Formats: sequence, structure tokens, C-alpha cells
Amino acid sequence: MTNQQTLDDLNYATALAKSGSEAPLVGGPVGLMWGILISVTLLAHWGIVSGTLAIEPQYLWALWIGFSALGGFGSAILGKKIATKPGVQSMANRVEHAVWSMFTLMLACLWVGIVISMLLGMGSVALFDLVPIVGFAGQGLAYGVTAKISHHKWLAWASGAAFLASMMCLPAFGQPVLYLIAAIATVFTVVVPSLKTIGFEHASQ
Amino acid sequence: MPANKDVQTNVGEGSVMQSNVGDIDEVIHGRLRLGIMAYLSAVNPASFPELLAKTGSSNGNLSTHLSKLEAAGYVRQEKGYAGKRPQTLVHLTVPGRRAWITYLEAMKELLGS
Repeated sequence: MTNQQTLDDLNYATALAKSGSEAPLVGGPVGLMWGILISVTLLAHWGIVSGTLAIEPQYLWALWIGFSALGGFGSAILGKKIATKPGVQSMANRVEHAVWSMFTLMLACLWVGIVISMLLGMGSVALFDLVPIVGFAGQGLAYGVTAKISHHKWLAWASGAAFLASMMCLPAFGQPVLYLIAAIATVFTVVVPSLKTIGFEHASQ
Repeated sequence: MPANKDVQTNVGEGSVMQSNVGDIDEVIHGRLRLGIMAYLSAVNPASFPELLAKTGSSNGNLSTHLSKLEAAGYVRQEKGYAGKRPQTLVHLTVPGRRAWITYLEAMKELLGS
């Protein structure tokens, strides 16, 4: 084998290794689905608790159960599609999947904890206001880790926006306006970054 | 497995060096197998269609070379299903990753960089 052949083969291998390590993030469609769903649900929540919508607050349970069911169904469908995309097992995609799975688990634990404290008569409905506040902080963390691994600087901006949203929600704790702030913030912290991820994925194909 | 023999290797224009290439792993040292190992070093596991698309190889050719890598213990092929469709996932094994790093270091030394 000549030196030139060897170099050609090594260049070919390098190009393949690069295409793998620089594989785009593939979770954009799932993020977009959740972003739209969360924004609409938070807006409906605000409409109900503020009296803007003529719906009794006891139907909030139905709203959030519907949200979970729709989100779970959508994730399962989109997850199947994503599983066959090239580069889905790259380091960045594996880290992204892991941090968002942990994020979901964290919010689920918080939610169950609140329900238990209410069942024991030790908490109030206001405790649910913690979910968006902690949720935005968790988003900031998830985006920050993904930005570091994927080298996408714009994800660091999404991380900063999510931390800012968490700070902005805290002073509104216990007030209906918290859910309006959260609904608007979700557009900037989930919908926009997900659209950007999808755009980046399409551009790299 | 690593070949342990002396071969002539061109190291530059007009020059030929007698090199001991005992560390050059001949299982990896082929264009397609090199490509497979390189891609799996970044995306692990990768599906068979994904490797086909990335390497630009034919179905039969890729199968043959994957079998050689599997026989050396460098990759593991996992047959399963993605939904109702059959799917083959190719994993880079721990000895495979080790062999890949050794191969790259040996090539770097051989090419004098």
C-alpha cells in the first residue's frame, strides 16, 4: 500500500468519524411537540385560574391529565421515528436524551411529592406553582449540558433564557399570572430552540 | 489480529522506508473496515442501513467486512426489531475501541507525525 493510498484511506476514515461526531441533534421534533403542548396547557391553566376562561378550577386535573396523555403519546410516536435517524447514538444525542429523561423524572417526582403532601393534608394547591419554576431551572441545566457536549453555542443562550424564566416566575408564586409568564417563556425556552434544532438538522443533511 | 512482519512502506515522494509494522492491525487496515471503525468510534451503536449510507458500500460488501471485524471481536452485531421491522445494530466492543486507538497510534508513528 502506498503512502498516498494510506493517506486517502485515513482521510476517508477521518471524514466518517467527523460525520459521526458532528451528527446533528435529532430531538428537535420531540422538543417542539412538548413546547407547543406546554405553552397551550399553561395558557389554558392561566385562563382557568384567572377566570378568563369560564371553566371551573376543578377541571385543571383533566387539563393536566390530557397534557400528560397527549405528550406521552406524541413522544412515543416521534421517538420511534427519531430512533432510526443517522447519528442518533452519537455522544451529543445520547447525552441530550439522558438529560431530558432525567429532567422528566425530576418533574414527575416533584409532582408526585406535591400530590402526596396534599393527600396528607400538609400542602396546598399553590405548591403546584413550584413545577414551572423548578421546570425552567431544570431546562436551563439540560440545555447547558447539551450545549457543552454538542458545541452548539445557541443552546447556551437557551439555557440562560430558561434560568431567567425560572427567576421571573418565582416572584409570581401563588398568583395566576405565573402561568401566563410561564406560557410565554416556554415559547422562547422550548419552541424556539426546538425549531432551531430542527433547522440545524435539516441544514446538515 | 495484528500482523507482525516487515513491509516496505512509502513514506514520502520517492522514498521508501523499511518499517516494522507489527502494530498495524490488518483486520482494521482496509478502507471499508477503517471507515466502519471510524464511524463506530463516534456513533455507537449504528444501524446497518446507517453504516451503508455513511460508508457508501454495498450490502454484501458491508456484511463481509462486518463479519471479519466481528470474528476479531472488534464489533458485535445485534439482530433485533425496530417496531415490526428487522434491524441490525452494530456495536463497537471494548477490545474494538482499544484496537482502534492502537491502530491510530501505530499509523501516526509510521507516517512520522
